Amino acid sequence: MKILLIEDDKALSEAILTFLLKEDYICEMAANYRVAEEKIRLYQYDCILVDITLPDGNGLDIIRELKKHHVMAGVIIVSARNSLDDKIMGLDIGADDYLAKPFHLSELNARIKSLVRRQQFQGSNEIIFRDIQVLPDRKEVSVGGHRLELTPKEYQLLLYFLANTRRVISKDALAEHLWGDFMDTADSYDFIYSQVKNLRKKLNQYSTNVYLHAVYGIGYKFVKD
Amino acid sequence: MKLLTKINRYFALYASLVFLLGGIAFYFILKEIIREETSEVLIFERDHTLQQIKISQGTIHYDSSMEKMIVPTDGPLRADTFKDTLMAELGDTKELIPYRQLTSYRNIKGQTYQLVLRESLLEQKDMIFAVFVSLLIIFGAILLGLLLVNRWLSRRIWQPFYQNLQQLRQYDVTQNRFMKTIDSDITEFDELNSALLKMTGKIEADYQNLKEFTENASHEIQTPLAVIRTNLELLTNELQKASSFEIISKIDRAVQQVTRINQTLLLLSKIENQQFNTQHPVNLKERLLTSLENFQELAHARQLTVKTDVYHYDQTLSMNPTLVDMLCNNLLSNAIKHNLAGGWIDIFLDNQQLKISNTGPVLIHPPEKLFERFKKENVSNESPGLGLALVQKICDTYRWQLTYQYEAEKHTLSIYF
Repeated sequence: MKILLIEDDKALSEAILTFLLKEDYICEMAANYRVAEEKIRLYQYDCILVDITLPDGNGLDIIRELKKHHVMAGVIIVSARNSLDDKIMGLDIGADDYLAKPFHLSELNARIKSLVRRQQFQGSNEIIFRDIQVLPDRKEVSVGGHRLELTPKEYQLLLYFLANTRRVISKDALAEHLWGDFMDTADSYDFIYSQVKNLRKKLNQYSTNVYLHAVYGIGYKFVKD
Repeated sequence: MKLLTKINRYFALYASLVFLLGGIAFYFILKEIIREETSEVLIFERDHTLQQIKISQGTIHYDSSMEKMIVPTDGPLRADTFKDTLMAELGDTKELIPYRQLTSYRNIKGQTYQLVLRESLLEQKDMIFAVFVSLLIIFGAILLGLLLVNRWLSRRIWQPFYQNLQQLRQYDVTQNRFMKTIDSDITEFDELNSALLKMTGKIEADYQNLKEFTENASHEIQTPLAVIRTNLELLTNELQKASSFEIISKIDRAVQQVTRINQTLLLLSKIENQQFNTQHPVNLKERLLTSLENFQELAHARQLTVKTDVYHYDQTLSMNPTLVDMLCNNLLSNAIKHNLAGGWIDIFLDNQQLKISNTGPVLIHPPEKLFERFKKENVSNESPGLGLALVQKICDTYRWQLTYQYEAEKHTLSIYF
């Protein structure tokens, strides 16, 4: 899996790069429009992360360029502008997703995985983690061959955890994933706690593995024991 | 009190003083003039009488009427004297009438005669009365004139002033309602206008700067925040010790708060800068129900009973979808956040209004403060208190009226379209 990160802020791009490399992606960086254009012409990527404001150009132009040359890579806009017009414009010209800065890396990860899944399997795919099987296009979850009835939020949580296994996910990242910016984290902690508890209980109906672990004070980790 | 009325009041006061003193002076002057006149008449009369005696060669008609009396006397010759006196009127009434009297002594053919001449001063009274009445009439005319001039002035000359005042009242830099002063040919008004224009120009420039500053600052903060956040996340996965997690958790939460405040401020300034101009037909009911669904489980977790009555709504409005979502989400999250465990939320929507009532703790601050930025009821709460400011700003954008009521642990927010 090869990712191109187009981002002009060095500190941010380094952090993202570190993260993506740890997640076993092959990742390259471009700090400006010129380099990005060159790399796109020379190499093939599965996913491209684009910042809209670049020192020597507009990220949206890169997307137009990609679409003109029928590059198949998925495109996620990563912007500090967080403006609806940019979002609509970006999605209009062919971007697949839009993520506003500042974001959680786990959120970025979930978006990348979801995008790549859609791209590579045209939707007809499945996520398998040990004895858990998820069919995203049908929103079906089964453990050890038994169907689970999950609420929409539990389902969203599970998918998020599956995209970020073996990593500590903060409660804030979970809250933001579930409600966007509208719920203050402190108010939703209790709810997240009970949702995670329910999810764990439902998974353990048919599985002896304990997947969900609370990490002191900060959040949860989804691993096999 | 109007300026003109005030001026006129002093003017009227001054006028009455002048009229009063003038009247008194007039009275005495007139009286003196009439006395002088009467004295002259008496002297003329005396000379005339003496002339007649001379012509008639010493024949004296002894006369003893009220006006003229000639009697022989034994006394010495004395100088002529004038005197004011009161005499009883002839007839039944016996009223006392003021007279001017001239007493002369003359030697005619060896005999001394006393000549007494009198002239009535009754005219004096009439005259003074006439003057008094005229003065009153003039005074009344001046007051009436003042009143009429006043009206005319306020209609004509003060017109530009009142128009500018009206403009100033409607002036609102946040709503882009600016001043356009009306010129007059009055120096004071024009000076005021130019001062006003200068001031409002400064306000507009400052406001514009502030808006731009807020937006730029918020925007510039986003990237460093993203750097902190991502690195913090990386760090989280490096750590092993529980105490380190606790520290990271605290930093993370603070970063989260700053992020949220910053995003909301950015939103507010974007709304103010009218960057949410794109309009689409929006069905508020659908948006509201979608938003409610998103919060359903959260409401459920807090054991809230949610009642909706939105089925009288059947229109689509041209609005910005993002703003509408923001409005719905903020209103609902607010109703859930500031609720009591086991309370309820009542949502009502029709074509005229959206009303969200919910149970909640007693307000500490006055209700009108609720919509101010950074005003929060619960100080320990992590919520920055920008949600309702955002709701207010969105309502302002669409010229909707937002009202808030509180009674007996029941909070009601109503928006009238």
